[in-house]
Amino acid sequence: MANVYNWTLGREMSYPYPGAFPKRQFAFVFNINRCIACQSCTMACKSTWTFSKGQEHMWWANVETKPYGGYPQWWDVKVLDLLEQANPDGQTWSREPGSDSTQPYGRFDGQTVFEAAARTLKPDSSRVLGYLPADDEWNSPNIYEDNPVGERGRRNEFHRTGEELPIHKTWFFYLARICNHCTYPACLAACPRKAIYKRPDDGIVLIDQSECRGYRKCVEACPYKKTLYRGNTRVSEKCIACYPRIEGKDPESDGKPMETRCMAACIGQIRLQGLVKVGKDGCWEEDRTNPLYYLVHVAQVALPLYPQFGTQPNGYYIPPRWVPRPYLRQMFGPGVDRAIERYVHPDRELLAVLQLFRRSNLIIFSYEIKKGPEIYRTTVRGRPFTLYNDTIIAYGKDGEELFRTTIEEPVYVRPGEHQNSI
Amino acid sequence: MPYDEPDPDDPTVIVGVNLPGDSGSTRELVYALAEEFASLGYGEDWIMHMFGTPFFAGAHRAFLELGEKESRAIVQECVGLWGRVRFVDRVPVSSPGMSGSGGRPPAPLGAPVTFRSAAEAPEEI
Repeated sequence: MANVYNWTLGREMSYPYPGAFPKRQFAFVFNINRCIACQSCTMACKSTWTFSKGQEHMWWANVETKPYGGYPQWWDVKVLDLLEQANPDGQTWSREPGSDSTQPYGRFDGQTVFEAAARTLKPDSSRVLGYLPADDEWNSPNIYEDNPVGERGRRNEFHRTGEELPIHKTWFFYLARICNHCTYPACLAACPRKAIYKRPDDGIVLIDQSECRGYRKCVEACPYKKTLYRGNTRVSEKCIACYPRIEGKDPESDGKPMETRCMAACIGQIRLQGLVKVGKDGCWEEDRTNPLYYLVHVAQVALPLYPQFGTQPNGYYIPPRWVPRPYLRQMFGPGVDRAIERYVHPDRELLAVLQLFRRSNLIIFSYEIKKGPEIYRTTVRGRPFTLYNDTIIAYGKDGEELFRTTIEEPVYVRPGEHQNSI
Repeated sequence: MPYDEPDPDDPTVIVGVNLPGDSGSTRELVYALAEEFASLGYGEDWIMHMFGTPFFAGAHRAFLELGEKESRAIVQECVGLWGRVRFVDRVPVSSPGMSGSGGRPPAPLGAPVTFRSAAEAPEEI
């Protein structure tokens, strides 16, 4: 085991291989507050990559209803339970969240899936604490979602009123997920054939199909359960981050890096994806005008999913503001309260950066804000709020302008007839 | 999907089972949805229609718990904040046709491409 630095844990941790980091890292931010579970991302991915025989159960991108559903079912509960069994009452955080980008959420004092494996698993060749989901846990990817179903035995007909559906009582939310293309991938750590690798240019984690022999160690190890076994080819497959699009090889992109299919299809405008600069220690290099760097390290409104697993995932979430905080703290770490506070009361820059979501299918490498005059002042839930007519300009890989977004007060022109009928 | 009645004693089948939540979580849910949709350009009638539709289970559940009067007051507050303006995009002529997720053709600078206009928001779902 080597020692590597995991900034989402705020400390060094054990990992089977020494740290090796890409120049840039594929990363994304999902704003859960906006997700309506339309499943456009799910179907965009499915219709592009996993529509073939043997891939029926395979959803590289999915949206699940939390806390009721999961794909595979109970994936997070089971992994959390394994860690709790390995380290009873020890999965805790210390130190307060701060602004230090190497320790933004404090310090995790518990054990990761790698560290717990070293203590609890036999034989010694077992490198990651995990489990292999049973077949039936994969067969209902959309379980417990609030979409209409029909009565048993009546095909092609759904209930006419939603009240007849099972009603979730009190809170729930939709969690959109893809592979997190982790900095310390558990799938890579577990593969006995070293068939899984991380690309040096963009950090995308891939399975070499010619090397894989379908041992399913990666399926067992990935705590997010985003590697999947394909029965008819007898190898495992996973999200490839639409790497031809990231490379700018999609005919539509005109040679420019383009966001993935699931990002581009998002009608709820919850997604922003890009490439961040990575330093020699695996931490993000300061890149103040990169929107992902801003959301994760400056505004700190976007948080990693289950950072305590220890893989340093590169997917970040703006947490849902209505969900009880203990649940959110377990899911996104101790930075939740700060993130929600800042999201609910956004400052001038955050409000502008939030407008970048889904304005373009090209990857935004940097932004600039041109300040404008004040439009109006008001109060939001008892706090003063001022809206400015700022303009945010998004730039691409080579510094070319992609688009600019500004604010306008609508002007209504009264028609010649019926002048009072606005 | 399960068709049987949920079993509250089964810890892994929790659909339909009451979950403990903060007292303010329902109110916060209404605020979150109202604010997000108001900032997207939707008006009071449209947002209230969404809350009243049972197929939007989360929104509808919160609406039933909070009541129409309180829900409408929150929606009016959010529309009052965000309904006064619209966000407008402009893309350079040289940029590929990437504006937004709708695949619209690029518009030259100076020609606004508007998709957050309260005036253009549909009144009915």
